[in-house]
Amino acid sequence: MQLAGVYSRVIDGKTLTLSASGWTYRNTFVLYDYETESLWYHLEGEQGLRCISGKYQDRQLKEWTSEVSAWNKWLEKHPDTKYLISGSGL
Amino acid sequence: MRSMKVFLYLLGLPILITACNSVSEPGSSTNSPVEVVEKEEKILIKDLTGKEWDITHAVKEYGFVANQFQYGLGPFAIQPIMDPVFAQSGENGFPSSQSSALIMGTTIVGDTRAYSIGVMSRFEVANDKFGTNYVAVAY
Repeated sequence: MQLAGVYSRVIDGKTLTLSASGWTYRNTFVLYDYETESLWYHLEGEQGLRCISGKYQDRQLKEWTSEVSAWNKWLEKHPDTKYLISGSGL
Repeated sequence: MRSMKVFLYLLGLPILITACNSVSEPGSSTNSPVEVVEKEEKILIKDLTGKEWDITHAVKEYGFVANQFQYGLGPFAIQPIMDPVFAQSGENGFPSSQSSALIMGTTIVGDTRAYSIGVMSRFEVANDKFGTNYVAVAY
C-alpha cells in the first residue's frame, strides 16, 4: 500500500515535525517525528496515521481529504489552487 | 580413502549449517536484511547508521514482523520539506494548464494546494500549515 495522505501533526496541543524514518514496512513508508522519535504508520483499513511505537503509541493523527490527480484535471476543478514551488530542502 | 571422506564431511557440515542459517525466512527482506536485536525484553531494529529503533509495541500490539522492516537508511537520509512556498496562477513556477503531471492535492479550510508527485517522491513528507492547522503531506 502506497502511503499518500495529508495528516494532522498536532497532538495534545504540541506540533510535531514528521519525516521519513528510513524504514519501510510492506512497501509503505514508516514515518517518525523529530520531537519524540515515535514511529507512525498508516495501518490498512484505518484513516490517519497510527503511532505504532514511542511516546504516543496507539494514538492517531487525523487524516484530511486529499487526492492524487493529473495537474490539468485538478486545476479544472480547483482554479484557485496554489502549487508548491519551494521550501527548505527543495 | 573412507576416513578422508568422513573428514571432509565433518569439515563441511558446520559450513553447510551456517549457510542454511543465514538464508532468509519466507517473507523476510531479501534486498536489505534487517538486524533485529532483542535485549531486556525489548525488540529493536538497527538501521544502517547504527541507530536502534524500539519496535516492541508494534510487534506485540499490532503484529508487525521485525524482519519485514526494510532499508533502514537512517533518519536523515530523506529530509522532509519545511516551510513550503506556493505559487498562484500567473506567478513564476505555476505549471501550464496543459500539464498532465501528477500532483497530490488537498483543500483545508478553503485553501487549496497541490504538491508535485515528482517532488514528493523525493522528500516523502512536506510539513505544512493551513492557517492554524499544521499538517504533514506524505507520499
